[in-house]
Amino acid sequence: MGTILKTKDLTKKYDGRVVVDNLNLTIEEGEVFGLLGPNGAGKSTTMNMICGIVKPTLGSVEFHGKDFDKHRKELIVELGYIPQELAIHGNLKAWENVELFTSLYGIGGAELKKRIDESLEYVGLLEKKNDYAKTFSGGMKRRLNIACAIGHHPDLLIFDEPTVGIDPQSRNFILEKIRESNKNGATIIYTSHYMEEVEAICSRIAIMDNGKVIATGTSEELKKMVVEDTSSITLEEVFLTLTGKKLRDY
Amino acid sequence: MIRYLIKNNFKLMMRSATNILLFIVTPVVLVALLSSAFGDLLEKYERDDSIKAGYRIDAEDTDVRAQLLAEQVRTAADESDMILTEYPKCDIEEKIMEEDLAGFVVFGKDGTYSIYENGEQKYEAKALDYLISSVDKHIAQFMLDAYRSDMPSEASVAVKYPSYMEPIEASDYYGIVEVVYFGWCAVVCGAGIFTAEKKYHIGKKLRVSGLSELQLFFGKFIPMLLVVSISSLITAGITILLFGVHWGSPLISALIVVLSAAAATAFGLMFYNITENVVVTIIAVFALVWMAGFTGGSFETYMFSTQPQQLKDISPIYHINRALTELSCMGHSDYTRSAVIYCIIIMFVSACVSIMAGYIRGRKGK
Ligand SMILES: Nc1ncnc2c1ncn2[C@@H]1O[C@H](COP(=O)(O)OP(=O)(O)OP(=O)(O)O)[C@@H](O)[C@H]1O
Ligand SMILES: [Mg+2]
Repeated sequence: MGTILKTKDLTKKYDGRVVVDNLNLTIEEGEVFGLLGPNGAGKSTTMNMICGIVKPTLGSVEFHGKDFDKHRKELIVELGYIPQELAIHGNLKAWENVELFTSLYGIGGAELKKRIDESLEYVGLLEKKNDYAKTFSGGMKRRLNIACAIGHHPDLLIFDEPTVGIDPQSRNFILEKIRESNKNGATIIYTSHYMEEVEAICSRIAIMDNGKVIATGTSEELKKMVVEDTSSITLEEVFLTLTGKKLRDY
Repeated sequence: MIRYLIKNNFKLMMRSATNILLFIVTPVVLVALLSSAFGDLLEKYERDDSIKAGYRIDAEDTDVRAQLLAEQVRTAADESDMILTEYPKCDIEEKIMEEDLAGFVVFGKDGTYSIYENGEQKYEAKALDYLISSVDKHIAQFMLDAYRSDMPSEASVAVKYPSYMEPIEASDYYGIVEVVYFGWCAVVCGAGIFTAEKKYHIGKKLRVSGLSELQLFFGKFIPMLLVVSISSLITAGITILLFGVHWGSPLISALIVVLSAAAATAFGLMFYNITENVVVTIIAVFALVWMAGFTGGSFETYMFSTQPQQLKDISPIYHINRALTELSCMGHSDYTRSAVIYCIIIMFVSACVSIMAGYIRGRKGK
């Protein structure tokens, strides 16, 4: 197992304000990597830079051992990105949404049809394939959002807070699916500020604050940084100890 | 594969009721309203007795260009049943009143000319104006061709005389120009997609998949063009059924309508790609299209509008309207070529600017 993704001194400034600060992350093949951080820590900005939506002010991203910016065309098919926002068309049916996004990776014809059903089946929406996305509940939209990003079978999946604003059932379902994808061979980057989720599914966790990673390790290792006896502390307490209790209003 | 992007964007547009309303219902209603309101105006033009006009040549006898113009205008007037009489020395205004002339032409140096119009015979005066400018255009084109191909200078001018200002029915006129005008409002049909792409961050996801600016452009351009063309053709069909609009040569007319829609679509997309703001785009495009329509004869017929010719010539809508209406009433038009060229240029330039704007924005990495 090697390194699948590496950020090198990744930095983003908005109007002179440093939002992501010299970030050096290494993601190993086959792991579920959790990126924890309070609101405004720079998680989404980091993910957006990795995906090429936001241009870094400085630094670069290495994917599969190659400079991602230079080899984007060839590497893009290996990346699946589930954005924090719901990127779906309300006026398209569920299957049409999946078709639209899956086809962008050069898949067409009968193969595309197969992948659409497979993706919808995966998120439990196959029965609703002919319904308009606008008629979906919040949880169903979240699941559709995921279905739109997996049809091209990428080997790295980036989930940016896929569970915000949904009920425990849907959340549980999504976490299960992420585990399943990982078992099937995909590497996962998972950002969130829900501690339990991250603790439940991630093999390694980085805590990010003010654009910097302030600690990395398994949840055990992170707890050890704060106290000796790890049974008496939750990840949430570790998080609050490391990031402070001040509110983040930028 | 951009085919599915086009297909789904097309579906999104066809599912919007606003589009159907704007591109089919509104023009049909407007054609009905305008053709009944302005029917009188155009009818006046259908007259029985010949138009009378006077002229004088101020240029020297040796001024070849001026003599040629005068001679060709005389012949054209003859063929068009216009009575053109020479009054060498006279007070023009007095003569117009005295002889009840529609207008008076003075041929000046090097083919320049000025026309005095009789305010009481506005339509007839416009006809005279139209005749002379048509002949003048033919001569200019002829000279240019002759210059290019080194033709012997004695070759005679083979002018095809335009049957000047054939009367056109109000319903034909407005049936045609409203379809063109609404085609130019094409950008609106993309508004739903623009908004969704921005609001739901779909633009972002399209970028993640590595689509190039060119693909992103065509992903919107083609479905928009399809929607506008189809609705224009449907509107044209409805106006044919309801008002009996004549479209002249159906094939060429359809081609011009589609080209005009293509130019309009690219033009609107360019604004959106530069501003990335749907409201600003729609306001800007509507304002510009309104101006072009105003000078181009979308509301007041171009024959009788008092806009200066230079302004009309700038308006692409003028060229398109004129080509289509002349095709309808005369079966041919000198404006077909300029309309087609104008559309192609607008389309090409807009597409390039659009793609560049997207590319620059991508580079900046907003
Ligand atoms: N386009 C932008 N222009 C200016 N500032 C921005 C822009 N995008 C993000 N920021 C700022 O960058 C900081 C980091 O934002 P980001 O969305 O990456 O945080 P996050 O960790 O994902 O937070 P959340 O948990 O709320 O999603 C925030 O302070 C935000 O205001
Ligand atoms: Mg975020």
